[in-house]
Amino acid sequence: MASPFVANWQTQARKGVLELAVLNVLARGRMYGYELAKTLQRIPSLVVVEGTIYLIMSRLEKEGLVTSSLEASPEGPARKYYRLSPDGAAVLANINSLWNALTAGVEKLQERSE
Amino acid sequence: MNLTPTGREALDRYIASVRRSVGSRADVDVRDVEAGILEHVEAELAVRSIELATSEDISDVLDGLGPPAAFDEGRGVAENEASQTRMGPAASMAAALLVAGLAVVGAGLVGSNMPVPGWLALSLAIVLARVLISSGADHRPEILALVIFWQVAVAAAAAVLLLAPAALVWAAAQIGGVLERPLAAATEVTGAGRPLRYWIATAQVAGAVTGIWWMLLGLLLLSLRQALPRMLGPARRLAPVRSAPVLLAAGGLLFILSLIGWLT
Repeated sequence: MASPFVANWQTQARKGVLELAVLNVLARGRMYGYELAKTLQRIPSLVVVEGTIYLIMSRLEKEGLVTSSLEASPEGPARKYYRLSPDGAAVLANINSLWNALTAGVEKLQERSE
Repeated sequence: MNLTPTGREALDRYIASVRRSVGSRADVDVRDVEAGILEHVEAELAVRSIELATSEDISDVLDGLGPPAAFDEGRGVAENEASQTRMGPAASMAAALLVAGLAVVGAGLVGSNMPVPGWLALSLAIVLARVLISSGADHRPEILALVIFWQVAVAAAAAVLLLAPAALVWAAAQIGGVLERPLAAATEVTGAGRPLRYWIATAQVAGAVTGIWWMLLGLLLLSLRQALPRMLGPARRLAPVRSAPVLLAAGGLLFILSLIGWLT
């Protein structure tokens, strides 16, 4: 069982990474909420509470980083599909490079400590 | 989505909990979150080939979505940090706006013998609180958010309690005042005496005018049904939007009854 410190660290780390993951998934193409939640659920420890995805999508849409459209579904009611907006693509490029620099730096530190 | 009554109840409870948890936040649209959750539940039931979902089925699906209070993982810690580091000019301005808002609510209530300034003060309090909520968006500590919510709720409730009855009878009172002399002349009232036919005629005119006025108010509220809740923010549950159809129907009925009385 994780210590409270680890659990708190994981929660904090997950928050920003989840948004990064959502934007990266949408960079590959449009997706509806349920599909997005299930895709992200496959990454270990990333999504603990699936409802969080819908909160993040609303926030990203309000920020103008994603756009949405209702489209008819052959399996039932219309689905809300999300797409990355041009602003979202620019933000994603920016945070991807920040992420890469960050992980590369931390990996180097880990190598030295091993 | 087909649900048993208990399944529907379980889902409604969960959605209400989402509204409580997310409703006061400026950075998300609670309707989007609700719609997303309903779509998720529907998709999950379809994947599981459940045609009529019981409360157990719904609880099972909702367990996967998690408790609404946990939707925004890490926000509590981030906000505590923000409240410690951002108590600069923005927070001072927010606090000043809050005090000003509360003061004008008080002034509005005290000044009830001066209706116009009182009403203006109450309206200003709501606008100020709304500005505060928007400007405070991601930075306000939870306690401030709570105070702001109650300020808006109290201001809106006071405005509804004071303004609504006045607004409902305003037209009748105005028209009554304007028509008093012609009515008295038409019903051949002389001196201080007021015969019954004068009061009947007055009631009919006032009823017809009030009916039209209520219908106009109802139409106005209907046209604002999107804008009003947004404008009132957390106090949207107090918004008199739901009264629009009642007002329309009551106005129509009053007008027709007055017309029938007049013609007969």
